[in-house]
Amino acid sequence: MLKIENLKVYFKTDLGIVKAVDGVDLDVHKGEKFTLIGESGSGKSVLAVSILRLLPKNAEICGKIILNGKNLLELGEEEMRKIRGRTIAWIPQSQSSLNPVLTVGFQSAEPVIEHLGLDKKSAFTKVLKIFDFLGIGRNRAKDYPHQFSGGMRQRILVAMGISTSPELIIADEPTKGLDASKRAQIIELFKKIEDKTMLIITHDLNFAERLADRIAVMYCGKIVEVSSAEDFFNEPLHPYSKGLLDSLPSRGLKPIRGFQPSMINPPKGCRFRERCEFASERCKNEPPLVSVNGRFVRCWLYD
Amino acid sequence: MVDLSGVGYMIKGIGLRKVFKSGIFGSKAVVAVDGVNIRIEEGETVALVGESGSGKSTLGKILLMLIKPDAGKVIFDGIDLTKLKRKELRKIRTKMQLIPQHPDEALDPRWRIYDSIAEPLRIHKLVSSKTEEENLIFELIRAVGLKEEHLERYPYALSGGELQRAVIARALTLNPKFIVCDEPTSMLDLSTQASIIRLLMDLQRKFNISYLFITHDLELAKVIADRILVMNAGKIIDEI
Repeated sequence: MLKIENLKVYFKTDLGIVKAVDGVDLDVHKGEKFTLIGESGSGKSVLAVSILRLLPKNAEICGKIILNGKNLLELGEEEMRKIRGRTIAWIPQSQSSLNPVLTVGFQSAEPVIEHLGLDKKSAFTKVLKIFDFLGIGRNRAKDYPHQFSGGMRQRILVAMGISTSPELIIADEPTKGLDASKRAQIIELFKKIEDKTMLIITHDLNFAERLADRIAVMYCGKIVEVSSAEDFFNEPLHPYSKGLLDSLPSRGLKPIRGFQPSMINPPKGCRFRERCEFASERCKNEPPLVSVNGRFVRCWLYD
Repeated sequence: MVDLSGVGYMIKGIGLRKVFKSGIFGSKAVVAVDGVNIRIEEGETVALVGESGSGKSTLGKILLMLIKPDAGKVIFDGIDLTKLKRKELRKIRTKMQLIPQHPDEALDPRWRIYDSIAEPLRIHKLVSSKTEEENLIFELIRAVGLKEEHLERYPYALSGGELQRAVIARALTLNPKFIVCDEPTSMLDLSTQASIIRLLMDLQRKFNISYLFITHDLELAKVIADRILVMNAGKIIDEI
């Protein structure tokens, strides 16, 4: 359904060119919950924002983002505006994305009126139904964002996202800043929205484990592994994936040595090479993305 | 070099209570901590878990006497801190420290990392010369896994993990015996979290520090703590 081919997003800065996304290929199937994980600064949010073409002006983008056969990068701004919120919904990180001076009911109805062409009244009816469905409660539609807790605000953002029945939902770190019990509630909430295609960006591995169908791991602007969630948590392929899992408290709390390299001057060859315990001479060359039993991994160990 | 080893102290809170009042004449009252008894042995790690708003951070700050409790006692090294005068309290404060949740907000953005770490030494007049100060700080910075080049930088030029290490170094300058860690890793990546936690545990073994570790990550609490206290609506409701 969504196909990304050789996507590159470079930012021009005073310090040099930051290669935030550097040759990414991805394939999100219809109806699946696809999760993109990686540390902060790995480029995962930039990748998501570039699908909506909401990058800042100093960004250069090339490659292909194909949604239902159309290359989004070739569309005009007006066509793109119709896709944003209608075909692709964006669920941003919680904190400040809601407008503080509008009631949450009004904010959630706005995209419905704008994109589906409903009149005010039926738009509100639709929104109230969604509010009930997501456990916000229709009686709270007239409240303002500051009257809600963090978990509730996240629910409202989800409500807003699904209100136009989009084909693809992109959620950016939906559990960030929430405590354990709220996190569990948000997971349940996402499970409820079954039939939608979702691209979820997170570094919360628990969240990914309980929700994802497939997982892609991003490291320093590149995808290093794509696996089904089950395979990933049972037997991660890429050394970086292994390192990530081992740093979980329940799996030994072992940190990965070293630091993430700079994206202005990433190391040649495999970008994880300097932190990898299996690194060898071969790793000085760029490893290919190899297929292993239906999974993909970018590492010489599997060549 | 200030001696960083030695015996630890035990800290105890008895019948602690704190009510925050707001509104006209305190018409709206929130009971943040409600009759809490807590005891942390020397060299022990006690994890405090609970939802946001359950009073975990307030309790931590009361034990450090950064918030004065409305009722109850805080006993540290055999002394009741609630009875002390400001000046006396200040002396004891060198033995207790806070590692906050947001390292980026804990350091002055216009100060070099070096000055932020040196400030406690200067305030408490613990070093007599510039060289002594430098030696001590270099030693601290190595203990937390930073390099000397980091000292000349400003907070914006450090990553989240590096900042948190700098904050830990600052907390250690005064040779504390009790540290309240208020969700020190909730803003960090997994791998960085693992290395910061390892660091805190190493330091504990070396210097016999007691920790009150505030978190809402139960998994993490299980791994690092000797005991876990569960807090809800101002009360400690369970011990695991």
